[in-house]
Amino acid sequence: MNMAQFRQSFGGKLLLFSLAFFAVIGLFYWVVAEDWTMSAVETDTVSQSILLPAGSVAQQEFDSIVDGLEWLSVTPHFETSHPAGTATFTICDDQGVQLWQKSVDVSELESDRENVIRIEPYLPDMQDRSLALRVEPGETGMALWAGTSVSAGKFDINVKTEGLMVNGEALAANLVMKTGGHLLLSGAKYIWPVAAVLWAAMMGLCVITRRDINSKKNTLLTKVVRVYEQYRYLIKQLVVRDFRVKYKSSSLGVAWSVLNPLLTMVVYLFVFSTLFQSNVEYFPVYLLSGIVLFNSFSESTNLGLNSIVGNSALITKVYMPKMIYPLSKVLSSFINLCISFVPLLLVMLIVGIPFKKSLLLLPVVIVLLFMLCLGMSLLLATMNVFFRDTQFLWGVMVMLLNFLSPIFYPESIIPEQFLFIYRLNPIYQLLFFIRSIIINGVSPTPASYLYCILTSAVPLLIGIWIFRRNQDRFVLYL
Amino acid sequence: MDSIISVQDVSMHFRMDKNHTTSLKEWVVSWLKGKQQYETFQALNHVSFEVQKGEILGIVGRNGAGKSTLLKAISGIYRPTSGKVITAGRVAPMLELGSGFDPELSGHDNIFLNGAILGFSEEFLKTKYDDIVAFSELGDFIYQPTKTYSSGMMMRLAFSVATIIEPEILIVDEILAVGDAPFQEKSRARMMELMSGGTTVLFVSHNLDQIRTMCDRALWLDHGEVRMIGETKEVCDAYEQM
Repeated sequence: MNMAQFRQSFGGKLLLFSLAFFAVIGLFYWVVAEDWTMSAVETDTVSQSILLPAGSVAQQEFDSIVDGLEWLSVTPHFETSHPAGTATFTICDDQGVQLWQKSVDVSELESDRENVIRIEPYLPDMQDRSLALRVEPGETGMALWAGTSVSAGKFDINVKTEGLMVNGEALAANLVMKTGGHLLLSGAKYIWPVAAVLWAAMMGLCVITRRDINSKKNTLLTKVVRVYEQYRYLIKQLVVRDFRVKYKSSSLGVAWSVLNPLLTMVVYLFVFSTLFQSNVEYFPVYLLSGIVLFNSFSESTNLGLNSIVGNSALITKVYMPKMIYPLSKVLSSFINLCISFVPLLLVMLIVGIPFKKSLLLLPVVIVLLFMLCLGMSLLLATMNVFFRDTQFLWGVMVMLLNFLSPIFYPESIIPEQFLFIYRLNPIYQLLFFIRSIIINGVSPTPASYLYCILTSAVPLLIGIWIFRRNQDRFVLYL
Repeated sequence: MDSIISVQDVSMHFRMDKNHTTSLKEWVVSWLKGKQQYETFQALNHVSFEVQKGEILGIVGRNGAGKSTLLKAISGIYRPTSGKVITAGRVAPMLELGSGFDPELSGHDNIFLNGAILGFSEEFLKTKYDDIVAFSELGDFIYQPTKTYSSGMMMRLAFSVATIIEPEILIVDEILAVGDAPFQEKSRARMMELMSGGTTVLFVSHNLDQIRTMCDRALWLDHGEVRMIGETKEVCDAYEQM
């Protein structure tokens, strides 16, 4: 058996598929593992400061929110001369057991600023532990800032606990301090087991389907395989046709796939920059990512919506699996999407966002968006056969969705009480996802993947179900 | 011989909405009124017959007798209300003038598109491509968009695609009289060639002479029922006397 024969054989195909599958999972692991295991966290800081007298021993209780405590910061204050000597920082647990101690040369500390003291190696297993930080200033003493309220994001929260003890006396205040470190997310360690289970399931399905095909059984999967074998060339032809015809009579042709999002971005920038730009980092990229994603959604669902009614001449004359029509429309619109990532990368380069490895997650966004668009197209195409009003209604719905998704406005202006509605919006989830990987350069959390998959897969499953239930009746209504 | 098409007790009912609702408003209104009014129209009524491999079956009948419905049920476009159609091969309908063609694409691209619509693979179409172009006599026009074609050119191309690829089952619905006289003669010859080459043909026509000369057997459909099936001559004579 030579190489080509082996590749064509069933075992060879399975092997190649398995290799490709695990290569993709390996790549995925490499990209997300770090972001899925550790996320940097800082505690909030105290404002409204009061000054502690020099020479006192301060002990501050705090709850660690991080798993691995990597650093803490204090803010000393020196009146005029810089004191000398060494200050000792100690962290104890609630039983008073000393976990870490470090002596710091006071002359190295800066007055009225956050001074980060690194904890090396970091303290593990600290999450939700009650800890205490004890600061013993050096011989000459040292003043530290303390305060009575905690600033958390936009608002001040009054600290109720009397966390600070000075020379054994409780004060109604807290030390100005921050702690930092990483949270251990368990996401990454599930990647390989989940992948292995998926792989085993797929192998099982392949073997079963092959057996069914050989024994000429009719199951859903054998049908899918047969249809794919027979019609994959048709799908390719239809996609190529749509793509060729689309720009046939325009002189710039395919360049419009690049120009269109860019020009839209310029228009939005022009209109909205004065309103919102101050809040959003890398606003052009923020805008463009939203525009590219939403345009693709709007274009593919509109094409998909008309795919059955618009092909009525063919559907009433020749048999083919009807799902091919919406599928080919969405596919051809996704060629456009892939092209419009070019200007996105270009603008990233111009505004100076570094290309990180998280960019390799772009295919995840494309696949999820594809599931969503295909699902919506199947649903809309079905509805449009029976109620031609659907096309007009959908035009309005798309506009509404455009405003209901943070495309040209920052996410932060969404009122907290409406956030749960936004979370149900698949576009919102995908926008969050793509901005996380291109602007922040980190993989979203596993929970975010789950949200995205759910909000994309549910429309797809509903779409397939509704379409299959009604497809035999299409021809009667065309 | 094996039967390649088996039509088993096929009935086809159409539900005609009295007020054909295609807008949401109309649907809601009629739903609120309490009942959607339907009228059933029985296009096919317990039709059963078999077609052997390589046979040419002519189908005759008055307008509205259910001929087109029967062909659509056989090619899978309609799903019968009851009964079963079993086909053991690829059904290629001879598409009406250019309905499978994209006017913006060239004849060359349309051959592949149309072939793909009929369910054929790229490799297969490549082997047949030259024959199709030669038969269609389009010459260099094959690289022009089909929107520039005359209806005769379009028909020649459609006929060429449908017949050169030699489908197992070919459905011909009243379209033989196209093109100029030489092409008509050529296409008739090609049909004969196909039929002798093992392709099963379902042939619907109101032209009884064509049926008589081309078909092995004939089926007379009347009001959705099989009135008669058998020797072409007998069926045609009976139909004519009606």
